[in-house]
Parts: sequence; C-alpha cells; structure tokens
Amino acid sequence: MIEFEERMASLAAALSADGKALAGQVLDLEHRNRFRERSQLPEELAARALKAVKARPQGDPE
Amino acid sequence: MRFVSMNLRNWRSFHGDNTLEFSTDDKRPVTLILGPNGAGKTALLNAFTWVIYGEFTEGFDRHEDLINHEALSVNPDDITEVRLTLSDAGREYTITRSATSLQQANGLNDVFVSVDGKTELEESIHQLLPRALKDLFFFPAETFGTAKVLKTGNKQSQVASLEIDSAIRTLLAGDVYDNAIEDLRRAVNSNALKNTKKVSDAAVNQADVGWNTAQAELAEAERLRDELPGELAAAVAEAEKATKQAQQYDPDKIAEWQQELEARTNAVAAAKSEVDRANDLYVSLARSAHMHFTGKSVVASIKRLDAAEACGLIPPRIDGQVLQRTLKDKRCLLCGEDLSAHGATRVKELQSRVADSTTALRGLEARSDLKNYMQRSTETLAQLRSAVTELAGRFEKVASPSDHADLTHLRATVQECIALADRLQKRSDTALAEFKSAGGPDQPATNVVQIAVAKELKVQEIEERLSALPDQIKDLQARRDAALADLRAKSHGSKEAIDKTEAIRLLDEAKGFFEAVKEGLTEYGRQDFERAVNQTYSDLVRKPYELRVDKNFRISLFNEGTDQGVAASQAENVLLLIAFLGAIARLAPEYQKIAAEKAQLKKVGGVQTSAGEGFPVVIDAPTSALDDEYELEVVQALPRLLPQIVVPVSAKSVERWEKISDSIGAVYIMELTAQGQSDRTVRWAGKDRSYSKADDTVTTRTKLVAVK
Repeated sequence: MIEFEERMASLAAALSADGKALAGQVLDLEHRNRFRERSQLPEELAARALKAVKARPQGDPE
Repeated sequence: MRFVSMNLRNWRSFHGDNTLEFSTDDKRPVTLILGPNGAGKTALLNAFTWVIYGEFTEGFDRHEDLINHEALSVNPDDITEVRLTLSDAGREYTITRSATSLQQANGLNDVFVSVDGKTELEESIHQLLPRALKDLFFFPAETFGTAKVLKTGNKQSQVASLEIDSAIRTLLAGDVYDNAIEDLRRAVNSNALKNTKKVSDAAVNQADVGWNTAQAELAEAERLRDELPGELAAAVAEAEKATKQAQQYDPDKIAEWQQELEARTNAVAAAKSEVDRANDLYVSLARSAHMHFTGKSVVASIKRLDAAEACGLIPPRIDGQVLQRTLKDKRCLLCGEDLSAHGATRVKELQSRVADSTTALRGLEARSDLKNYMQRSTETLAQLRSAVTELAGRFEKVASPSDHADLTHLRATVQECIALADRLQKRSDTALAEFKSAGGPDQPATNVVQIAVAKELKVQEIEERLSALPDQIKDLQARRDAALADLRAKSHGSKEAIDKTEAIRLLDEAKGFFEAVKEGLTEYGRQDFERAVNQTYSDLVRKPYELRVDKNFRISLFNEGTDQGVAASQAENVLLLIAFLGAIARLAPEYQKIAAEKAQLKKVGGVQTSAGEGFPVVIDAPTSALDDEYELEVVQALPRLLPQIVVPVSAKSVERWEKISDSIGAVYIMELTAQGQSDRTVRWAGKDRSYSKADDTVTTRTKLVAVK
C-alpha cells in the first residue's frame, strides 16, 4: 500500500459509519454528475445526511 | 495518444492547403519541421492551440489576422481552417476549426469534432487534452528562457504552481473532489437543514442566529480560501503586465527626446525670428529708399544756395539804417567797435546790397531745411547701417557693410541675410518634421508607473489575506462548532432540531474528508511529478543533479544527494523545461488512466512514468538557446523523452538533427517565398532542398514540403 493510500485509508477509518457512507454517496453522485447540472446536489446531500441521522436508533448519537 | 495529421488551409503564412503527416512510429518518435525565420514556426505551434482550444500562446499577436493575405487578395471570401487528427486508445478523433474574415475580426470561429467518424461535442477533445495542459504542452521558443515554472522566489512562480497544480488535478479528475467540497458546504446551508418552526424560546432563537452567523462567516472564509489563489494569479498577471508596460517607458530617453524636441522647436522659432527681422529691415530700407534718390539733389541744392549767397543773390538780413548809423558814427552799432577804413568799405558794399528781408529769410530757411533733411538722412542711414551690421553679424557667411555703405549696399547685404535666413528656416522646419515623424520613445498616456505600483499593492493585499486565512478558518470552525453545540443544547430535546444539527455535523465530517483528499492529491501529485521530472531529466542529460519540486511546484536544481542548490544557466533552464514538459506529458496518460479507474486514492503518489508512455508535445525550437555541446546532447536525448515529439526548428543546426535521423520518422521543410528573401537551400539526406526563395510579387508564402 502506498503512502497516500495508507493516509486515505486511515482517514476513512476515522470517519463515523454515517460519515463514511455519506462520503461514498457524495463521491458516487459527484462522479455521476461530473459533466451535468449540479445545482440540486446540495439539497440532495443535505436530505441524505438528514435521512442517515433519522435512521439512527433512538439515543444513538454516533 | 498520438497526433496523426494536421491540415492547414490559409493559416497565417501557410498559403492554400498544407498537410503534415506526423510520425506515429514509437521507434522514430520525432517529426522534424525545418523552417527559416518568418516562415511560421510559431504560427504552426499556434495552429495546435487554436484548433484544440481556440486559443493562442502568449505573445502570439494579430488574432484577428489569421487568414493568409494572398488567399484573401484572390478571394475575399476565403477562410482559414485547421484540422487535427489524433488517435487514442484505438479511437480516432478529428477536430476542425475554421474562421471567415468576419469571424476572425470578432474572435469567433466554427468548430467541428468527430470521434470515429461520429459527431461529438468539443468537450470530448478537452477530456482528452484538458485546457489546463495548453500552456504546459505548447511552448513557443521565446518563452523557453523565461518560463514561469523555472522562476523561483517570485510572484510568477505562484502562477506557475497554480497552472501545474491545476493540470495535475484536471488529469486526475480532481474537480470531482472540488465539487464535493463545494456541494457539501452548500448542503450545510440548504433549506432542508434550516429551522423552519417558529420558536418562542428566545434562547433557542439566539442560539440559532449564532449558529447561522458563525456558519456564514466560516463559509465566507472558506470561499475566500478557495477563490483567492485564482484572484492572486490574475492579480500577479495584471501586475506583471503593468510592470512590463511601465518598463517599456524609459524616463531618461523620454526626457532626452523631449529636450531635443524643444531644441528643434526653438530652432524653428529662432529661424523664423531671423527671417522676420531680415524682412523688417528690408522694408525699412525700402522705406528709406527715397534718401538714395534725393540725397544728391539736396546736396546740390545746398551748394547752389551757398553759391547764391556768396554771389550776393541772397540779400543779407540787416536793416539799412543800422548800416547808415554805423557809417555815420564810424562805430559798429551792433558790437560797438570802431569802424576801420576797410570795415567802412565793406559796410558801404553791404549797404548797397541790403534788400527785402523776406527774400533773404526764404533763401536761408530753404537751405536750413535741406541741411536738416541731410542731417536726418545721414542719421537714418547710420541707424540702418548699424542694424544691417548687427543682422549680418548673425550670419557667419555674410560680410558686414562698410562704414560708408550706402542704401544699395545695405539692401544687398540684407537680401543675402534673407536668403540665408530662409534656408535656415527651411532646414530647421525639415529637421523638426523629421524628428517628429521618426517618433520618439513610447510615452505613456497615463501614469503607468503608478498603475504598476497599485497592481503590486493589490497582489500584496491578496497575499496577506491568503496567509491570514488558515488561522481565521480554524477560529471560525471552533466558533461554528461551539455555536452548533449551543444550539443543540438549547433545543431542549427537540428531535427535529437535534437531527438537523447532527446532519450538519455529518456533512461537515464528509467535507473534512474531501478536503484532506484534495490536499493529498496535490501533495502526492507533486511527489509523482518530482519523480517524473527527475526521470525525464536524467533521460536527457547525464549530470549529477537532482531536481526538487517544492509545495508550490517550483523546480529547483540541487547537487545530487545534497541540499546544495545549483544556479541554473540559461542552457540548464532549457533542459529543465524540456524535462518538465516530458514529465507532464508522461504523467498525463497515467493520471487519465487512474481517473478513468477512479483509483486516485489508491494510486496517486506511486506512479512510475516511462519514455514509452506519454502524450505528444510540440516543442518550438527547443535547442535555440543551447550551445553546440548541449544542443547535440539534447537532440540525441529527445527521441528518448516521449513516444511522439513534433519539433519546428530552423535549419541552422540541421547537421545535428541528421545525426538522429534514425529516430526521425517525418521531415518537412517550411519553404518560404517572400520579398527580400535570398534563395537558400537546406541539405537533408544528401540532397539540397529549397528552403527560401526570393519573389518580389509575394509578401509571404509558406509551403510545407515533405522530404522524409
């Protein structure tokens, strides 16, 4: 494993489970919309983040 | 990727249709294009940038003058068109750009792109050859010695670093991460996470306002952090331009020119004054001409009156009784002296001639008037003589009149002066006109020095703001986090409010990750670039040097394994630049592959480049600044640099290029026909080929002739 990959892996490992999942979704969305209109993406990302938080079991602040 | 062919129709000096078939043979990667000065080597380089990007290299002027003049003179509706065909991963791309006279005048053009024969968007070419690569891949010869990338410790290097960083990030699809950061920042401020319910609790409201304010301040600071480098680059470019403009004007030369202009203007005024003075004097002489004609008559008249008096024709002005009494008393009634016998005789004679006193008075008055006239004439003549003497003294070639010169002589002298003064005035008029028409040093319409200073201050201001931003952002982040915690604490268990604050934390967490990715891509991209540039440099020359690329992507030369810096000569700078071009060109396909695989986070920082892989580059006259020894070394190394290199070069060093003829797959001559050219040939492969031709009927015409 090269240094950058290691550093990225350690950063990813330090992310919360929701954070990691959200980062993956963001990357996927950004790749898919790279050459498209992206004005709706912020609302979409906010909605996903909220959804992830709401889906947490009661009392679990992560 | 390989360039396959290029067709130039009426492009600048290239008249009619000219085609280049590039060598696509890996073992013979060089396409050599030999051309004399003025044939259009830089125009050829710009044919690449224009057809691919619709842009030009720095210093390439007359963008509104692209169509060949001869073609336009024959057919005013003729157009210019450049078509480039290239291949990549088994697909053939063709991009054609054209412009009519009207379009070129307005900076417009038409572009047509096809991939494997099917029409595609221009973007498909730019995905292959991103715009950020334009200034890195297409270098005009004149910028080789002054390339921004090699300048260390100055503002230019910051612009260069942005260009390289931008190129690397573009190749790695780094915009995806930039977009992610930007979208996550906006998401935090999105409506979905705003507090929509009316809250009656003042403390909650205050916490909400505090959070929104802190978040807005942080977002603004982050926006500045992202945008200021671009603003700085633009400000640096503007400051450089203003400085260059200010440097164009040489205050000493301008002052010298203005002094000379003033001297010549004064000379014209002085000459005019001499002419006026001479003319005025001539008029005065003319007005006094009567003296010349009357003088003799007056003298003769006075003599006649004197003679008349002597002959007693003018009666004495004395009363007869006075004479009678004098005779009677034998004593002069006027002076009281006794009268002698002789005196008495004279008085008796006088007594016999005493006549009418009126007649005597008239005769004496006439003589007196004539004498006065003569006196005035003499004085006037003396004044004129003095004026003429003074005037003549102003002209070296004019002799002063003698002390007795009459009006005729004086007039002749003044005429001589007038002729000389006229000549002098014409000469000074001509000298002034010539001086003005020759034009002096460029002079600014506005105070360019002040403008340059203002631009430099702007750069300093942006730099100061940029350097203060990281600490500001840390503080703002801490304030924002505290405000978010405060809001959460005061939400009194409202699930919706708590969920929204949690969602914001989540988005911020993801944003932090992508910011780390962005930073890592730059840092590890720099490491890849440093490795690649060292490899290309060692492929070019065997020197115990090591190239280091700092965090701003500035390249510096060190003695191998030491921290001892080496001051690069101009020749070494050229080598560094070629190594730099080679490194970017070698990295480009590797990075594009990584981007296509979405493997940036796994592979960046560990990329190995080789001469076998790389984008083609066009290097305009790469060795012109090198001495013979370096030149041969670089010429021999260039085929090892990249799989395809297009080199427009003058035939000055054709013998050195012939030494690598086995590595050259295609050779063209840019045959120049123009006024004032001499008939020249260039020898290639044992044959003399036409290089330039003289033809007074042609302005400039270049024809591409394939010789290999």
